[in-house]
Amino acid sequence: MKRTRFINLEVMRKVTTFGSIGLGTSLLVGCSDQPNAVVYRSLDECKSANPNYESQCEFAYQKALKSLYKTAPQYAGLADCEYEFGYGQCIQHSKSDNWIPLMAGFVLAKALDNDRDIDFRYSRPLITSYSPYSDIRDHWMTTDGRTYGSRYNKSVYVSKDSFKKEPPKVTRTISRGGFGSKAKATSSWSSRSSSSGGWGG
Amino acid sequence: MLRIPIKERADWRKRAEEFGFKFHTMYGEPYWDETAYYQFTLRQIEQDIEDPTAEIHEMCLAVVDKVIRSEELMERFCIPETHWDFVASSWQRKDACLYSRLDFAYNGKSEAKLYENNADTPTSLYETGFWQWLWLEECVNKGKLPRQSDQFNSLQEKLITRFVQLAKERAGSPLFFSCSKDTDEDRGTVQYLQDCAEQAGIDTFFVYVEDIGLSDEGDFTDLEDHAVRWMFKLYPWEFMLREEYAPYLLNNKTAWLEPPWKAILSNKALLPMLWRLFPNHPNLLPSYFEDDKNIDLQDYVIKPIFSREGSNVEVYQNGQQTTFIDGPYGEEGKIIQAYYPLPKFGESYTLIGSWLINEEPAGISVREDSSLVTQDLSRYLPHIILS
Repeated sequence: MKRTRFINLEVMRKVTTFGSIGLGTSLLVGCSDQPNAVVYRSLDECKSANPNYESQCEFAYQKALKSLYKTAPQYAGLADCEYEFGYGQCIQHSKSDNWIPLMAGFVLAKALDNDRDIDFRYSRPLITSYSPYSDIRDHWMTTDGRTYGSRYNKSVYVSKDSFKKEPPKVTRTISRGGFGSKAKATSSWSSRSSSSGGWGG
Repeated sequence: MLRIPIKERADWRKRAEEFGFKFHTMYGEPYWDETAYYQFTLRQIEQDIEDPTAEIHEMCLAVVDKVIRSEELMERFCIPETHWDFVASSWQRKDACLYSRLDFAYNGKSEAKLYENNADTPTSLYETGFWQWLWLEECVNKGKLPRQSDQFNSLQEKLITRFVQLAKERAGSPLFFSCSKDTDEDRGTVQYLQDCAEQAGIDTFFVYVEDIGLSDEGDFTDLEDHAVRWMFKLYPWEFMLREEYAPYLLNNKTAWLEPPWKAILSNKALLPMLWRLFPNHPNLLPSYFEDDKNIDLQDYVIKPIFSREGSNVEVYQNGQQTTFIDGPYGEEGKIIQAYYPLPKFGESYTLIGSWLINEEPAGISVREDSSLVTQDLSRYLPHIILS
């Protein structure tokens, strides 16, 4: 065979269609996997559980929310969204006008080093469904379609690679825009510049 | 090699939306075209395309090795003198590379002839590695194509395998991806590579080329002030080496995909150098620098060293100019290549792109154009192998 043997189409999908992502295809919790992540249903829940880490909770919550807007499945109509997630469980995306599920919670990794219980840097949004038509009813799910057991669970097992590591930060960015000028100059010359501008060949 | 009409999949536009393939129509014209496909025999694929692709790639590396040792050639290849060391040491360190695409004129009968090497910023990767794969899968499942149909296309498998290797070498580093703003095609290509990298367990981040910043300590940064230590950029080295941040490349720790030594391969000066080192190779067209003596060509094409998308190409037949495509390139010098028109199938001229992933032949893309010089507006057609 001269071609790729197998491609996981679910991973390649950009608009998640939940009909095809049931519990059968998700990564279920293995018996030996100890819970390694904590779930909070709200910012307040995080703060009250971690009294000395209120600003970290805030950070983790905002981060998860930002990620939700980027990665949540989008529906053109409210009805389609509510069919999957339940009545009153969807909001309109500020940029695309599409409908997305509410953030039902966020999950934080338990730190891999032991000096602190929870690593607030690694947070991800969780969604769930209240719809009787949905395969994920009452289950936690991340926006890539993986489920993590019942939404009544407060700690879950999440594979390590579900959390992106934060790359190192610099102290200060002193300038921007030092790359990209040649592309602009050359493309404004081109007759198709209004629609083109790609530098692939 | 045959061009065979076929019915489009009724739902392909819906499928395209589902999988985020946004640039199937560009400038109001179809780009992805599945009203026909190309059929090759396994022998054509393996003997006429795959083997020459591997061989030419080796020959290209021999050219790089020669060029980086010669100041005269570095000048010919328009590498700015300030960055000779930057490019040369990237080669000497054997900096890892990911992919490239060789473009061939091939008609199914004669030897494939190399048009050029897109070694730095090749596109049409997503359509090749994923989208035409899905087309074959669905056509076979619906009984529109024979079950034993195959495709020369292991791009996605090889990309993921390559990313797994690179991830090991770089021990868990995040990989930043970058391309120019305002182009769905480039962003789509980069997103595809991000997807493949993620599947290989790499954490990926994205920043537009125009948004890249510089820190007080000389690191490049994304919009959230993360230090960029490993980056894939779909943006040509020939630009980066001449832009405002070019000096900051020199004392900076970033590892680049593609690596700086690719500046030599994606450069049309490569073609006359190949002909010098491997004269009369069956897959090469006679090629010369503009000022070479004793050029004995009646029919030839003049191409600028940095041309893209067919810009600034001139065609001469019997010494007379027959085609001229205007454009912004050419000040940096030109090369002369024997005229070898693309084969015509029906109303279209056909160009084969032959991909290498991790320096191994990995598959082909077929593009058609209504004119002899392939430009941005060409159409992409899927292919099958049926022996």
